[in-house]
Amino acid sequence: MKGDIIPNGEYLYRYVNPAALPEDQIEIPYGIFQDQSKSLSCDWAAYQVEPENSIHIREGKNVIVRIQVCEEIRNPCNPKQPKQLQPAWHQKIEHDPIEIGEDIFHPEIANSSHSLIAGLKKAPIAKAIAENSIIYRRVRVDEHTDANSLRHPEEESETGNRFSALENESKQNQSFESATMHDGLKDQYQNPGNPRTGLHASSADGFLLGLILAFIVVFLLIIVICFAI
Amino acid sequence: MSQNRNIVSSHYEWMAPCQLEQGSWPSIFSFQNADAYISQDATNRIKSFSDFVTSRTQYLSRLRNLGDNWISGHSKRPTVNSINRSKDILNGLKYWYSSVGYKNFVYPKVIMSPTPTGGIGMEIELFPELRAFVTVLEDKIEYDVEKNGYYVEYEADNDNVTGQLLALYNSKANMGQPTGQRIPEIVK
Repeated sequence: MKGDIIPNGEYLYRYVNPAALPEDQIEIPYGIFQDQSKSLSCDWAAYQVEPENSIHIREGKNVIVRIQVCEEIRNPCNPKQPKQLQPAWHQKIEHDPIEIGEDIFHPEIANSSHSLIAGLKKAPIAKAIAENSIIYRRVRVDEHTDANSLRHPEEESETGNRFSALENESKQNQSFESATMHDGLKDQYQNPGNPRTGLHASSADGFLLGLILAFIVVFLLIIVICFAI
Repeated sequence: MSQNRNIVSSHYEWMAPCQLEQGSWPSIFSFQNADAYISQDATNRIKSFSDFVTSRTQYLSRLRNLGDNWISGHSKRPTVNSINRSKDILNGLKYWYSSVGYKNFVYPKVIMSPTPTGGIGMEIELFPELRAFVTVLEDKIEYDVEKNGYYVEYEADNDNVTGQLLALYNSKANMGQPTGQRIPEIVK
């Protein structure tokens, strides 16, 4: 419901165009959260169960950043003054569903998962958000055919480079949770037939064809045997 | 673009580098792992940092083609002025770290991105416990410094941001001198 406070432990998604980030940078930069409008738009995972199908992905913002709501974001404080909250730094993290016609960029759609991290975005706050975020997924752009027409001119090569970077990252055996997600993504790259199941479409077709051929051979054998008798 | 606008007027050498031990790891580049950093000699470290700055300035140039709406919510493309000023800061850092010959410097780790308002945000980790958050928007440069977890806002002298950052580096490095002696000034 609009205005509901999102509790700690919940996840929020934000979507970034990969061209906005340096190819070999594995950290999440604080700058992407430094929105001077004070209200950072996100999708609440409780309502957005498939962020891969968000309108933002189809617009080429196919790097999904997942923020975990916590007290460090909600009420940041200077560590040397742990008992002194910074009232000006308080962030109101609330559900803000959008009805049809309300979004100036996409008036044709409603977004029941839309949420806000509202408050001044000073560097310490943006950093607190970055430190509680991971790269959740980098969705392959051609999983969504619509996205091809919206793709940034430089994105195609960047996507390839990013996958190489992900492979290198996995090789380094890093313990980031994002690396685990990258492994999942890698599986999808290696099995591009069906992004959800990993079943290769051409393999399924071949299996069906083989079954039909075997059936025909058996049928012919039976006819030959009948004639022979 | 004035490449040398942000160059500090004098250079200081830090004679007692951080201990390169596990668990007390100094700043490294985003793309490097600890082993790779330790195995490099001083000359290669300088070259690596120079290459790193070159790659990031090329990245900044590419941001001119990013366009608006690059992140969910409201977002503007980075302005040309923001991009150029950010390049100045990076080149100033590169010049300072590489122009004075051998240094067993702890090179800064730089994490960067556009900001939704059309600027550039750079987290410059001078030491693990000393980080600057530099936000460039057009000709305006602001930065916060996190020192041992405590944030302080600084007013940027826009003509010498790099110098201000490196003064922070020097203050930290000076604190690391076991004898408490002032770090000698390098003859230019």
